[in-house]
Amino acid sequence: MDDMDEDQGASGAFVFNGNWREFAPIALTNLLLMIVTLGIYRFWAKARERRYLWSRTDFIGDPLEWTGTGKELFVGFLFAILLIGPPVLVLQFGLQALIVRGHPGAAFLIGMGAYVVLLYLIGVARFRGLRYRLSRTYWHGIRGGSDVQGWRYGISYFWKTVVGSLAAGLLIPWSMISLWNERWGSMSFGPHRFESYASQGPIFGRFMLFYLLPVVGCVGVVGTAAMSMGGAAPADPAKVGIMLVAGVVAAYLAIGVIALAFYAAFFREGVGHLLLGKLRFHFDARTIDWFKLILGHAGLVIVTLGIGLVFISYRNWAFFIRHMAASGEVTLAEMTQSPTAAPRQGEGLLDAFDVGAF
Amino acid sequence: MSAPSDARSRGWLYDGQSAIRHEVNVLLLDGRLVIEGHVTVALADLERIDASGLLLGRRDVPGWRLGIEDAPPALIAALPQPPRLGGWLDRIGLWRAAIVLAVLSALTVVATIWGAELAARSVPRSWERKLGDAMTGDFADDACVTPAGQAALDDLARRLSPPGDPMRVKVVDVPIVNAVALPGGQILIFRKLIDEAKSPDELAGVLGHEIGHVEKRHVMVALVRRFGLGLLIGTTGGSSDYAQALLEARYSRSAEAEADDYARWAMRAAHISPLATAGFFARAAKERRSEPGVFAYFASHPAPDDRQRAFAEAAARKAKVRPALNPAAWAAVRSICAGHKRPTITQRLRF
Repeated sequence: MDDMDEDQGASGAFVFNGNWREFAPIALTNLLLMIVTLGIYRFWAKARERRYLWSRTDFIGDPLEWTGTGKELFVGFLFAILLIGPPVLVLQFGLQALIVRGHPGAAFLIGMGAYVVLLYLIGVARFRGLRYRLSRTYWHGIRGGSDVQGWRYGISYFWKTVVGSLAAGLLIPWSMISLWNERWGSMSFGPHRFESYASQGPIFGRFMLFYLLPVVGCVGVVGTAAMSMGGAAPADPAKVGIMLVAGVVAAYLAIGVIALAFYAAFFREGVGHLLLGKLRFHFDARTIDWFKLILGHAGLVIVTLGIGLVFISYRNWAFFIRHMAASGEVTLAEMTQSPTAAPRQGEGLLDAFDVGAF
Repeated sequence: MSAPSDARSRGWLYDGQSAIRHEVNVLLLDGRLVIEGHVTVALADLERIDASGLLLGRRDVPGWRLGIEDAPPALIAALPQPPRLGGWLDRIGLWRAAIVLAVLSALTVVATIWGAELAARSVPRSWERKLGDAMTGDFADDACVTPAGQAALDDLARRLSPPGDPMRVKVVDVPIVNAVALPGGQILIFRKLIDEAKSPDELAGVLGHEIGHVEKRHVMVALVRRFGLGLLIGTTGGSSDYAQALLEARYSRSAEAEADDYARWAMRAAHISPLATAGFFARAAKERRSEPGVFAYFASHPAPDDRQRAFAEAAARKAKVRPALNPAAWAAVRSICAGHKRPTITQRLRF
């Protein structure tokens, strides 16, 4: 039985069998240690959490393993400070000095330059964060990774993000999908390269909801105004005020829900078009599932007066794995150790920009 | 001599080269772990991966994993201890580690605050002035200047400054009752403060207070401290932000008290009565509460009642006093912004 091909249906390839009672001691001791170290322990805390979450996650019957360490994350963080420190300092101090001294033009140009550098670094960070996480994720003693460093991806990220926001944002779905494909296309696990062929077509419709919202809002305002004008009595100012506030709240909620609906579609499309060897991945969380997840986060944090924050990473991971599936086959004999270079430091930039992925 | 056969344990092995799972038998022999059909590993090269199962790794081969299913107690005892918290935390224990780390953190914070103060005070004044000028420029274009008014201000500033180190004072056309000491020892008085002052003695009190900030190097200390604390804890977010705000507010209050002390001392030396200032601070504090803070690091002040009382008590001590400025000079100061038309500085000051 040494050499067995494992064939698995779409259901059950990924199984999460952790429970929050096991996770609680880890999360709470982490919280204690973070408090007494002014937060510096959080790198080691994250490593402990991941070690637990990965070890309770089975892929085709065998657990994943996280081998990253807190020290790596800490070094990555220091590295990030060195990289983003100068542009941030320029933005914080240099610009005011220039403006006060009467060089607004120079301040504008330098400020733009600093933002360009920051945007570029965010792209690099996203790439390297994924690369690092794959390189520290083992299954059957085999890990993932990438030989690409991500510096060029940063350029792609920069120009695609800028172009995406042109034309009233109509190209944003294209830029997100194409960056997703580019990022995953550079990654590998064991001897196999990931292939990503997501397309923007299926998610573009959802994105258009953003444009529909102002129209609906205007129609609503005009309609309400017409109705109150049509009444015999003049509109009560207090009532109008309440309706205005309700309108603003409703608009924010609607934007949030549309963003969620779009992201749900984006993530399904992205994961659903990932291939690894003969494996194909699926993600089946719908908007309502994401909505429940976030509502659950909020409820948990409120009910526990904030302590529930330490369980959010757990809930995210459980959500992610419960909705992940894979189909196809894995040939164990062909699954040899990854030849990619393993990065030596962690996802520090991701941390610094707070774009921590899920 | 070979081990008895019942010392064999069943297990499985990933060799780190391929994903194939090997079913193996392992036994302990002469301080080494024999994995039949595969390798023999010294116990010192092994590490325990999982706290619950018996999962072992090799320090020298990434991905190499050995799981043992029915290890006898003797084997378990010989293998490395399972990790709990990881690293040196396991060795000293959670609670002891928490206490040690808390003490270390507190010491680091204290050292940073103290070190920042020390570092700030050891910066030569000429550097501080250059740094301040680089950060804020000189406000020559935005300041209200009339020859007589500026001369009167300079004279008052000279009398309230420490000997040989006169401060640079400017009036700017901003409708706020406030005055600030900028990095590098420039003092800006906002127009409305002069408009609202009832006598030159009140202006002298405010000016003395700001000169006190410069003289005690509060601005530089605040800058260095903010930068140092920011490096230390500011980046970690969450509760540390509150800690920083608390520390800064606390510092700021003691700095305000120091600046007041200086103002009283300087006014006494210049034979100016502190009585008018007591009333002024009370009025200004009331107004300031309703205005947006322009310079956040001057936001926290001691209770206005206490400040008022301190100035009133200083006035009670009998001393020879005369008005801070003669009527002609005071009139020149009051009209210093009369012909000035550049209200744009409010925008420019928002840093």
